[in-house]
Amino acid sequence: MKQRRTTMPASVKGGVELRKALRKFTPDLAKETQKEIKTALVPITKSAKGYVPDRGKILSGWLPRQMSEATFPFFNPSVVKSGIGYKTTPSKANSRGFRSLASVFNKTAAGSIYEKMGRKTPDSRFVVNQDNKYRSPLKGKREMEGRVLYRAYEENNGKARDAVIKAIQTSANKLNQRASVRG
Amino acid sequence: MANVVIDIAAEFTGNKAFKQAETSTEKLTKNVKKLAGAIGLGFGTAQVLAFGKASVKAALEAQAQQERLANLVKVTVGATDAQVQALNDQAAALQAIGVVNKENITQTQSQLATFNLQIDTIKTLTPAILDYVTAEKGAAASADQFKQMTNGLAQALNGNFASLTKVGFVLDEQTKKTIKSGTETERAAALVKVLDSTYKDFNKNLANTPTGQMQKLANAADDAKQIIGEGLLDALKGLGEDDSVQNLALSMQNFAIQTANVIRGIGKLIEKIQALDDKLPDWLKFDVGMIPIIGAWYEIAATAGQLAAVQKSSDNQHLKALQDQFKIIKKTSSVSTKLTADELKKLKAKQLQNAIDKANLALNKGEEVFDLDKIQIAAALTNQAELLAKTTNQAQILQIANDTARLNVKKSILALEDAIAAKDEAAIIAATNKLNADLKVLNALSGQNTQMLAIKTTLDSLKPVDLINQSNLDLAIAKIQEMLRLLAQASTQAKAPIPTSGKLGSGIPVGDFIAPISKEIAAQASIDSILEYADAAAERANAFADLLDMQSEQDLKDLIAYQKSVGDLGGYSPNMNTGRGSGAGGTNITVNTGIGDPEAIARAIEDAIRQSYQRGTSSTGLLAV
Repeated sequence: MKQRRTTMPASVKGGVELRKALRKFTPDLAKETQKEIKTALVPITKSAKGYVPDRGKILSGWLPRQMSEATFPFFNPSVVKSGIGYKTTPSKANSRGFRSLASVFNKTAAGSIYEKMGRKTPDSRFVVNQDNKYRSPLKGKREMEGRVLYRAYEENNGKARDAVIKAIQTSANKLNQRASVRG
Repeated sequence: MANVVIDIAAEFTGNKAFKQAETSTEKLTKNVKKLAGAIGLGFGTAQVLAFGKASVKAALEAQAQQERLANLVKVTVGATDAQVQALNDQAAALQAIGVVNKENITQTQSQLATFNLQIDTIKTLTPAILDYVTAEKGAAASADQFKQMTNGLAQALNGNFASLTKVGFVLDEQTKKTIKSGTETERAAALVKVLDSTYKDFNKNLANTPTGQMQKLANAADDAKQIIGEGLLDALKGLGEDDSVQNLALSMQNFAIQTANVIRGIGKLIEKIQALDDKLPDWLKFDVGMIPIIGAWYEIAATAGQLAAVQKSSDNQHLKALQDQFKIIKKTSSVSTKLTADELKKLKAKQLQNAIDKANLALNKGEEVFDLDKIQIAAALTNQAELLAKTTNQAQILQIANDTARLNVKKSILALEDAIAAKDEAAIIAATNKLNADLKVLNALSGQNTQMLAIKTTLDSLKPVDLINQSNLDLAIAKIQEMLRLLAQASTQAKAPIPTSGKLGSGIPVGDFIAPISKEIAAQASIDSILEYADAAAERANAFADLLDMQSEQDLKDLIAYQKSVGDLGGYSPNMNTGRGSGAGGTNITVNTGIGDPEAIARAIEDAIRQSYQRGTSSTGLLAV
């Protein structure tokens, strides 16, 4: 599945090397850093899951049914919620050479549709009907405008990002501190 | 459909294309250049600085490996420092004779240590594992490959043989039993024996090949880098108040820049002095060390360099040894390179051809095993095995094992054909070894099968089937009974008196009788004799019949004569039975018809019949007319 990365994230220089060094020389510090990053990301995913509407607020034709040969993905709230999460391990480098150190995602197809529906075609019948049944506001800027994850990230006001940067910086400082101890 | 992903933090690691461009050859070249840079063959500050950083990193990694090993063996088996040092010495010695670098050897030892093995066991297993890994993965096997394959072998040591059987090892029951239930030493010895049966001294021999020489060169470069890195670490720690890695790196950078500048400056100075020196008369010539200020600094630096704790003498000696080794290898390599520019190609082709020849030889053996005739014979043998299974299951098991071995051979053949098609020398050699191993197994099984069949045949020949066969016995008894019956009959006939005509009541005069012949005797006689007998008997019967007719005619004449004599003929004519057509006294009956009225004749007949009916001599009184 093709992944669309959003606008430029906070760039950390030496983050991957730091992670390697932490795992190699100070495994306890590596675990602690992971934990701190997780603590920073969980509020976003938790509130994002809260923005996923339940079955009663979704167009009946979009809900899963017994027999159907349709290829358009059904909106199953529990599946969409389970597709929202976070990742604290470095990813592979993308085509531009960036490796993600921490990320949150909404990976199901239906969740992605609900996230971004109406950004370009707000007057389409599908969007209008869904909005008539349950209207959820789009929040965020430009490409990062959405109803679920982007909304949660926007409402987080960068707290998660700062916490992640701080966790990385703290672990780097601690590593340097340990490395400078002379026997 | 695109996912929604928000990267909270990311790092720019460079374009992938650059990384992909770094082939292993380039890496090796880079290592050699770095080493050359380290020994002062002229590189810029950036290169010196980069190499310094890499050296420090390599030194840290090496130290980490050794610390890991030391901690593991101390925690798991309570090893002493001397034992740890023994493992380090073994690693150094193994690197010297083979192509595997010390870090990978240490990692192999560490992995073995994680299985709580004793120091001696680790020392026993390590060389065999190096042979095994280099044979399977080549001279440039990675640390991960060493780790993975060591784990597999350590599992085999605990009775899980999957890692060995996957690569074609065939373990006999005794070896399995030893590994499963033996002591640690016995298990290790058994495993080493299994590995040595295929890979013994592979690591050592690989070092003599061009590829192995290049790997040794790379190992030497890495070693030099580590030693320089250790020296730099110690030196840089003494440079200032470094309280963090960042500051240490900064100090290191400054030091490298200054060092490079100093080297350049000294170079220029020496150049000028030498230019001046050339113009001076001999008695005025001097060496650099004699210049008061420069010489003092030079001597101080040299002395400090020799005495400083940061540049350990052992390291220097090691570095010198490595430099020598590097020079030798480089020289050898360069000579080899010059020679092999054309010859290497031929050598490769020859090696490939040798491998293909061996493979074809093995393939031919394999083809023999798998041709159609063999399959048909195998099918027949399978049927035979099923029959034999009624008396012994071992034969069937053996046959199934045989078939399985054939399938393995077929599989190996296919793998070898693929390797030949790919012209991959290592793969061809490996596949050939595998095929040969499979063929050995098959041959061993075939030998056992032949032996079993031979035993079966011998046993079958010993069974007294004909003597105890009931039907044969019944037939024999029946024949004996028949013989006894015929003998008894013959005896009875021989003893019985010849019947006379008087006894038989035939009327034939006594002494004039031919006894009848029995059917049994007639059946044994010839057709001619039977016909002769039949003719004789018929003539005799006819003669007696004529005699009886003559006797009867005479008796009738005597009767008539007697009746005539007494005057009572009994209602018969005196000429009865004497006319023609009635033997001696024939009677003629004449019916006169056709004279008179037919109506009258009919009435006369009707009357005669009616009267006959009334008398009871006719059964019916009805007349059809």
